[in-house]
Amino acid sequence: MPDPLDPRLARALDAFTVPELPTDFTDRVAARAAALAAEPPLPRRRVSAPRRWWRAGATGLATIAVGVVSISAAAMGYLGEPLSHVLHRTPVLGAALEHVLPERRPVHRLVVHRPVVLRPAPPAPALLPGSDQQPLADHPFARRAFARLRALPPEQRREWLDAHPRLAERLRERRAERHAARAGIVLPEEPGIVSRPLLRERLIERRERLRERWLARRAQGLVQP
Amino acid sequence: MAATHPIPAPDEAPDDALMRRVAARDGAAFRALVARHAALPHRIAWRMLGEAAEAEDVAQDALLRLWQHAPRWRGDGPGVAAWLTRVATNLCLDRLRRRRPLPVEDVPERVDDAPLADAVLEAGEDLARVRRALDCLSERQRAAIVLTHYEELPNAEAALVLDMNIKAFESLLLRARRSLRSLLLEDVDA
Repeated sequence: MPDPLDPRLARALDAFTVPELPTDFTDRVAARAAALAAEPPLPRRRVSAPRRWWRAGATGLATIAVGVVSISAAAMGYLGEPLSHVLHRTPVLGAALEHVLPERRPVHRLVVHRPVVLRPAPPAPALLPGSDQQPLADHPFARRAFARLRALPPEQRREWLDAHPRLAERLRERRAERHAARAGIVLPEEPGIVSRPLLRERLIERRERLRERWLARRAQGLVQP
Repeated sequence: MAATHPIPAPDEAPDDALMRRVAARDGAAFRALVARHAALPHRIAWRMLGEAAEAEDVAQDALLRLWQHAPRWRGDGPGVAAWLTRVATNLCLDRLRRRRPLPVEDVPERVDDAPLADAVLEAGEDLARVRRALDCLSERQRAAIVLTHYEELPNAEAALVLDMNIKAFESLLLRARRSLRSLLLEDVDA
């Protein structure tokens, strides 16, 4: 509910007075009303006889045209095969249609398939299970095992790693790979094989490089000792 | 012996009785209704349109519609005054929406004995200021002020006249009052 009108605003609005209606206003309105009542109602629109016949003829012709087009379309199968089938089976209409639009019957064609050429399968990687060359991380068992391992509590994870030394080693390698990638060290691309000594060597080199740079900056006084 | 029911004089008969007689095309009954209610659409139209000729046109149009509508009149409806309020308000809103200058040849030749709009405006500076302030409002805001303040309709009835729900109408009225306050009172306060 809006606030009540401000009394000062109400007083200001009250200044807008309305003059009286003219004295003859009632007479004028009554006269207009009487004139309205005296007006004859509008005549009904009449349609002449020839026009009526023309309209009926046009309607009939249009109906016949639409019917012929519909039957033709149905017989040609445009409205679906079942309807065409029914039309051609209708006793009199079917015989007449057969002369004009013969029924399209399904043609059984011999389908000759191309001979299938069997291509030789791509050679499988010559990696034997258990060998050092096997890319363990790509092996489905290894991927599932890693996923299960990540979900285990720490103690069970440690026990599991003790029981699976090869996978544990592979995990350590993966971790080292990730660290190397984060540090920007490019390792030789040998899928499945990570040279740990090489990695350690690169990491030591990087650490030395960083230390030298830091010492140089400290000598220049750019960093606090 | 059949009892005789004297037909009440048109000036004293209730609106519904008069409307039944108007439906039977009784000119005297219609004249009584016009005399009783003509001021209502005229007041609304005058305050919404601000012009004597247009206000008279609207009042006459509304009353003639009442004459034409009489055969379909239902006695259990809101009454003649409410009906005329609604019709006059809608006629004014229509005119405000398609307002254009009246061509000179369309001005009636009859001498208008109502005071000229200019004379009325010059009669008081306050009146002119209110007119200018109302002109600044939108059509519906103006109608909300006219119906609630000048015609003293409750908000619910005014909302019905404008075909709005009550919440929307109250919001409209609030905005209209706020605009008027800033237009009329802030100048004075300053």
